[in-house]
Amino acid sequence: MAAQYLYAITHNHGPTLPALAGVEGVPIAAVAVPPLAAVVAPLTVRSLPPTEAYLWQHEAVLEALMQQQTILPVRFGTLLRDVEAVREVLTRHAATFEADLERVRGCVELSLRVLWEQEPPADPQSGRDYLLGRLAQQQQARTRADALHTPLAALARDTRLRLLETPRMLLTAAYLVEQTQVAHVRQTVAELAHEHPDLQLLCTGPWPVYHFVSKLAD
Amino acid sequence: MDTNKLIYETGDLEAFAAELEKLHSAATLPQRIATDPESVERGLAQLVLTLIELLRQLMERQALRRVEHGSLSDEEIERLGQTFLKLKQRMDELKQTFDLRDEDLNINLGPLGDLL
Repeated sequence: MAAQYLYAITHNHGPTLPALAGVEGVPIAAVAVPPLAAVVAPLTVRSLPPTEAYLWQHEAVLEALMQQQTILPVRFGTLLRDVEAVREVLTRHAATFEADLERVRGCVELSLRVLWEQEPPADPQSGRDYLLGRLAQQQQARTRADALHTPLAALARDTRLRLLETPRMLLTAAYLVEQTQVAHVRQTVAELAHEHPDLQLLCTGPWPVYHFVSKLAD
Repeated sequence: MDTNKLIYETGDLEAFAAELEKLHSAATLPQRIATDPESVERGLAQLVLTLIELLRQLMERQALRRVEHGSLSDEEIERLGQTFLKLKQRMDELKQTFDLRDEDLNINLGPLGDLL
């Protein structure tokens, strides 16, 4: 029996799946355990390398589904043993999936990354200098990130925020935004960019709500 | 990137790509250490220094938190600061010796990263 490549979890009572070919050109299909369904495609490979082409094929399926209904995106590369294993996952985590679907209903994910230029700190003259210098740096990052994050968070149903993933990457954020709010967010990002000309902003989307799906224990 | 996905952008996409590249390479600690004599030393050094760097960062953050909450005396701040400063300088030297960049010593902690 073929392994099942998993794209998304949806409601079973949603519209009929579009006729779509996903990764490796294999058409997608639904495995239902009412009221939920998983969107899958049988694959014969044991694992899928994260090449650019494969990633976009995965993404294209999710986006086509998103046009039609609320989905929980599954991260790239998830393969289950067979259809029975898919049913098992749907059954075991039904409550989590249903709660998540409710939480993200009608929403998309927008992503924001911000770069800043930091002056290299002066050579510390003492231990105290060094530690307080580091603290000042950290506080400055928090203050600057807050100035961008707070107005955007006000437009979002939920957010994920990380500071300084690299020393230059001031902020990495994901916003769970109602579709009707996307234009508003874009406007706000544009205003923030004007208020903070020394920062570089990159806002992308709309994406499937990757960061707002509960992580499962297994 | 698919330009349809671009909502708003100031500055230069190359710069973002370069930072993301660093994050990405951080996720790839060597799966196995090459055992030819030329590279074994560097591979081991990378592994060991990555762990030390992680501990250094964790301890430094903890120290900063305590400074922030005012639970350290001036003397303690000076002593801790000296320790971290020396540790950092020593790490910089070792990085240079083994020709390692900052991003070579970064572990992608996944959800654990939030603890930092």
